[in-house]
Amino acid sequence: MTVEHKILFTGTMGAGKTTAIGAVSEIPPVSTDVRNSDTSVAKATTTVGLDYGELTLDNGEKLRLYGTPGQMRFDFMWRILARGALGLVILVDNSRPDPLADLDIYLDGFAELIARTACVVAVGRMEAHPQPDIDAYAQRMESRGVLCPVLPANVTDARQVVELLELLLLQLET
Amino acid sequence: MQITPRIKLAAEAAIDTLMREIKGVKAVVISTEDGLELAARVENTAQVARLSAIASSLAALGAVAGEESNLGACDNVTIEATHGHILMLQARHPEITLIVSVVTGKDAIIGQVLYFAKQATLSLQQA
Repeated sequence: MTVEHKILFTGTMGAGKTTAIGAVSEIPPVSTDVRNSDTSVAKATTTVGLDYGELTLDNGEKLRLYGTPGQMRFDFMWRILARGALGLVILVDNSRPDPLADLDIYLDGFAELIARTACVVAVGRMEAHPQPDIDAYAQRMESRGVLCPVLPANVTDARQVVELLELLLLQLET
Repeated sequence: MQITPRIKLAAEAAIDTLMREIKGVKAVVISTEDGLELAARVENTAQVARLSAIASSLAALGAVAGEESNLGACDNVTIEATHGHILMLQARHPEITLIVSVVTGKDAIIGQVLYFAKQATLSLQQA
């Protein structure tokens, strides 16, 4: 019987949740993107329901990948999607004004899931926006009593997304 | 994106009509398809922001369900709850897609709600 895991991607609007799932999914991803009308964010579309994709790892394990909407007004979807998840990938966009505060929103919003399972934090757009650096993220999580890996990642690259997922699963084994 | 005053006025007019015509109506909220409130008539303002976002998610999930089942676009979503109904209709204006959410008590007649909500949606689409 195939082993299946539900993995959740979250993070701010524009951090790359839909992109990450689309990069690795072996089925056409399910998307609920609609036109963005929030003028404070320069982005044409935004996810309002969920993203869904599937990925089979080399060891035969199947991952069901779900993406959440980023905005806090959709936090009811966060709770729905967190049910039964085995792990969480938080995507942070380092080009935003206060990415550490962004991280706090998702550490709070998914506190129960993080305490129960595993979590990986992936920081995007670090080449152009090196600050805050990885140490600052590690310190922020340590101050909040959260122990999980944090690393830079470009989620348009399928290989890097797979590495994030493998890192997440590795935590579950230890 | 900027929403023109003409559409805002049309949304207010649609709400007036729905609040006046539907027996048992509790709230009407008109929001953008990404869940931001445009106009509303309800006592609890917190509920408005919440309902706008929920309507946005449900409409998007309805759209996926329609498409994946080869049934086409989702025109409306109806929820029958213990104490009432919620109808969410898509108003596809050429400039912007809006979602009209109508919350009613159990005393409302669902056929009447649907009729007036569709009429209001049509007016909104043509504004």
